Amino acid sequence: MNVQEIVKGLKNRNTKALKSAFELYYRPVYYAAYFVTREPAIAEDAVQEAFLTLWEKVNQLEDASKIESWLVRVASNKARDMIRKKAREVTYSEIDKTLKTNDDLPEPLVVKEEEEEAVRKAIKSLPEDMQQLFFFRYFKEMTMQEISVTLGIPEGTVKSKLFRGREAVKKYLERELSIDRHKSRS
Amino acid sequence: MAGYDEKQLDKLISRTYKKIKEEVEPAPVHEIWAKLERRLPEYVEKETGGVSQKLFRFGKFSFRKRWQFMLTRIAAALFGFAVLTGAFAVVFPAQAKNMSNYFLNIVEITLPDNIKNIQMSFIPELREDAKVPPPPTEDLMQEGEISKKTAMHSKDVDNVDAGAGVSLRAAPAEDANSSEMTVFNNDMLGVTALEKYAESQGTACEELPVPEEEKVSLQEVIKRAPFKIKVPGYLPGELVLEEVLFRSLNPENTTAEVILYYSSSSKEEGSKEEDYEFLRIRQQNVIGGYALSTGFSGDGAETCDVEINGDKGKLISFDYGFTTLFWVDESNRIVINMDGKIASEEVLKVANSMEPQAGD
Repeated sequence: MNVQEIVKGLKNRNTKALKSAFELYYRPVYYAAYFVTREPAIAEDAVQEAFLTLWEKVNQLEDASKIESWLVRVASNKARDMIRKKAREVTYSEIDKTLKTNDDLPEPLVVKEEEEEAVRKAIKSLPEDMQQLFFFRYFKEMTMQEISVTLGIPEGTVKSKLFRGREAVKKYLERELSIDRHKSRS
Repeated sequence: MAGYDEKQLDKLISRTYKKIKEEVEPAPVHEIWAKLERRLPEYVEKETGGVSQKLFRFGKFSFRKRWQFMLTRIAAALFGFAVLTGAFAVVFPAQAKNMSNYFLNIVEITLPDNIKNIQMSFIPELREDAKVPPPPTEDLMQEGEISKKTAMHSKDVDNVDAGAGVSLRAAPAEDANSSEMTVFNNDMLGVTALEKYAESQGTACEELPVPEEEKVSLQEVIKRAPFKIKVPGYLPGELVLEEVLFRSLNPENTTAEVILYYSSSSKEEGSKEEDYEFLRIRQQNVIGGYALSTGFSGDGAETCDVEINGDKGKLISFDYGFTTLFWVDESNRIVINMDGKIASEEVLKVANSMEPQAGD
């Protein structure tokens, strides 16, 4: 089943089409949700909600080729809503602290970990549309042109938004890391 | 501390994402699908009341009930007609210039079979010397493109979405002045009017696309609209602003349409359809004249004259919970139309709470 057939099938309320869509897009949609929640259980729920939303609102999907970006966006939003509803704002730093501590790591690795954690925080602080662009660019490793086609926005816009996003990350990193290092010195 | 250059930063972000990717291992697809599949029948039943139901699609909105769909189409068609008539002033801008006093007239007619028709006009009073076709206004002197004459016929109304339309530009061949109007759906009246005007001027018609509605933020629309848009200070129940659409109705952006779409969150949560409320507020500034004609079955519908902050309006309440209200903010020359699945008392409260928003 190709994308056009899937969307047509969904519009005709064909559950086989939904299954095809699920099999095709499960992983990228899961990644998108996981990237927001960092909790597999919530990400799985968000994935289900995203596909049920697709089932419900498929008529709003004007361009079948954008089904993946649509699902990714919905899953991210659902994941975000779920976190809010559960009133436990999960931050990357919290999760990472539960996973590991830096105490036993050699200095260069600690710096690396700090940087990565700061990048995660910085990305999370970006506007949602920029986060989505980052997801496509760095997680899915898509080219600017591919992102442009997927999201239906001009390539120039993709470039400029990514540039602005990177600038924001850079500022965040410079600020946060200098504070952290200042704290560790004092 | 030393800053990051572009390459370093790019590398760092890529590395972070790579690490996240390594951490993630989704559960097998069949496991999650099995969970989803178990929920699907229950979900569909809950959404459609146990009956497999087709969604009625209208532009960016979809409806589960035919009546919602039909009423929205009617409302959109009426608004389209209103826009058409309002754009009359753009076709005959100098005529509009010769007119000074506006008057509002609302007439309700009952036709056989209890069909009701409400006509509203908000037009400038014609002066005696305004009968002669006017010279083009100075502000349109910059326009001068002349192109081949194009015929416009939208033969199938059902295939025309809300807001679909074209704009025609008449450009006198000699003096390269032009004027413009927007024609929505298959309103041949507007085409004929423009073509006649164009013929009388010895000119040609050019078909121009009307810009698509743009989804924008409230802050953006406040800045971009050529008039002070009004935003309700009061919203009933769980209504929240879901979408803001903006469409400039001419290249000069002297007249524009703004749509604020509010809905209750219960739709998202899959609760009963009866609990789902929505309200659409359309507003458009009037440059010249404006007229609206709306027809509907009087069975199960009540109409009444209302006053919104001193301005006259008409309210139509349908017994299945749908309400339409239109009025003209005469001092600011803004035509406002509200419709939605919401009680009429609440619509009036919302209307009375509307406040103009400063552009800066």
